[in-house]
Amino acid sequence: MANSNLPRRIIKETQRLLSEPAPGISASPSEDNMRYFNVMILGPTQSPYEGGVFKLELFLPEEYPMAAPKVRFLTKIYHPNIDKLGRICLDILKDKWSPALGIRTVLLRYICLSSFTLVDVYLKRPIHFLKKCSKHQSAFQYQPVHGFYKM
Amino acid sequence: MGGCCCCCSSKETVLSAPPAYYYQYPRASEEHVPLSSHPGAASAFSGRLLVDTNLDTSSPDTYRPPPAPIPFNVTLGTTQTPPAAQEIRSDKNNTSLPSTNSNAIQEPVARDIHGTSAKLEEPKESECKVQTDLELDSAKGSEIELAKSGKPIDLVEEEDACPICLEEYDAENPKLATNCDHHFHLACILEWMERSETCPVCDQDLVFDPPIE
Repeated sequence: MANSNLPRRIIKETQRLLSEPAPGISASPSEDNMRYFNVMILGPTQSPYEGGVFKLELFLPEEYPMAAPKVRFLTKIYHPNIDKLGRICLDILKDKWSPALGIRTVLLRYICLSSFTLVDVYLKRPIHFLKKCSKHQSAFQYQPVHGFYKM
Repeated sequence: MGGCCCCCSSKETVLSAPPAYYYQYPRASEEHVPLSSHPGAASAFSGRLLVDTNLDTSSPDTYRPPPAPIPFNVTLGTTQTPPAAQEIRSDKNNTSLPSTNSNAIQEPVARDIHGTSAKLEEPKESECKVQTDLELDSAKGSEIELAKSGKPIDLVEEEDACPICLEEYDAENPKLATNCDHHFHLACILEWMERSETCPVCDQDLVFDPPIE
């Protein structure tokens, strides 16, 4: 029922996501709700999250593309811009959204590449970062520790 | 290889809870091996991880994993896609061969720069990507517009498609250009102007040569 009123832009984006998969990310719509996407992202190479596999969920609100999609990490991750519930602190998902962006751009450029590399700020203080990991790693499914030693 | 193993374990967690323990526990132990200086703490962490495993199994109940993502190593292959697209253009427009070659040379460099530099420039690059994809989909290369524009960036931007709704322009829904040389449907840009006064593509102030009112 709800899928019958799906805007053509969402249909086009979904088709492109399925026909032209981007490296490092994979997204497929739910069978029940074409606005809900199951996403899987690989940790970028040369980052502390290399080797990790992260599950996310993405939802396109009614106002999309005038409003930003809602994205959340389902895999627990230690990251300065992602809280314990998996919510991502990212300006383009909030006040800096633009309708020229799309699902693919949000996932690949902003979440997968830009957000993950924000950890560089912490990597400039390795001892501090290691202490943070030691303090929090017991609460997270994926600890960015082994990648740390590659620096 | 590692990615495949992880995907298998995720599928197991979806099937039943007990196998989730067995599949996720080895990963935890492997991750603790580098911390050989804390052998006692490792066992404590593994105990807590099992508790977290219970929490994690609750969320995948509604989660159906998509197909495995392509590794980043294949990024080298994706860089070849733009030249292929431009080759398609060159096949249709022999006269524009030199400009397409300059496109092939410049676009990868531009993407690298945008990837590492300020976020303000990223929307432009995303717009180029979106329009490049549209070009692949529609397989259109209007010769007139290609002849008009000499700049490589303009070649991409001249694609007849609204960046907001991804639909093409026609007589009923004409193209509306801004002072920053970006174009939209009238309905699309009016709806966006209710929320913001900046250009969706370049974040500059929206100004139209014949002002809308």
